[in-house]
Amino acid sequence: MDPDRKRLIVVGIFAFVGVILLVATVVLVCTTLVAWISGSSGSPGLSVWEVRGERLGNASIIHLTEKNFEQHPALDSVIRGENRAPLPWDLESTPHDDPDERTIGHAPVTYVERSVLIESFGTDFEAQNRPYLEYDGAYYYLLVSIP
Amino acid sequence: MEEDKKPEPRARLRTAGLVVACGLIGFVAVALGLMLADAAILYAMESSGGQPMLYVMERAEVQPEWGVIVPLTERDFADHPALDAVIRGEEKNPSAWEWGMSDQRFIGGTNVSYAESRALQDAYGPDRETGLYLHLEYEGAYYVVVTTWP
Repeated sequence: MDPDRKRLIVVGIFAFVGVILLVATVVLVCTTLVAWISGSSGSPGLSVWEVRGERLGNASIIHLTEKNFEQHPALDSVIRGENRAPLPWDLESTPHDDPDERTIGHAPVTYVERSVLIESFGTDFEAQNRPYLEYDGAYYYLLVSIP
Repeated sequence: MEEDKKPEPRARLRTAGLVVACGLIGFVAVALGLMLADAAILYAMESSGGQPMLYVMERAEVQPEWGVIVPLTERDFADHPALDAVIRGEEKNPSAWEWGMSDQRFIGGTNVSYAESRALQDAYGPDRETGLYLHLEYEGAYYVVVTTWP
């Protein structure tokens, strides 16, 4: 083969492979950076507590329906699913250290789910007039924490 | 001597042209590979057991500086049946205005596929350049669409 043509073929192959490597590296670096930034901050968490007694007297009550559980799968998983892990009533490990409260469970949620839960059930820490959620005769309240 | 020197610039030009052509072919190959990988990832996500959700929030009032307002048409509802179900169908389940931010409330949500979640995000999600959410207007109310990608 003509040495000139041979050289051209080699240069062509190098150019082809070079561009592939360059673009692939740029894509990989961008993807890794985005994944690292979004993964490093952790995810918010949903916590549910059950309450009883006097606190329910004047409170707003939201009666949970099947539609609520369908639209908020994290809530479903804590109240009646795989993340339900209730602690005894007498443990004072709840936000208010109240014997009339007990921990029901926790589940990770996305930032979108967090804002949806806050709008639906007023679950942010600052809320003074927090509603209680009723399901199957038990009363719950929720909080969504940010990492 | 003159005749010996003449072919050199032409050969260089040919080499440069070949490098550019092969580079372009390489670029197209990578683009095709990425498209294929994207389709493969979507397919893998659909069979992963994760459940994306579409959520719609209603805004009590919208200021022009908060982003673009887009009127929803029957065409939007026909193209995105999940959006139809949440805004005016069986998945509508509005919360009280008093919970969370008082000028915003939850309207409804439903299960969607990963492909639908992406399509809804592309059509009604935040503007890629400004990051501002689109406000969808329907019968005098303003809505914001959010989707999850678990």
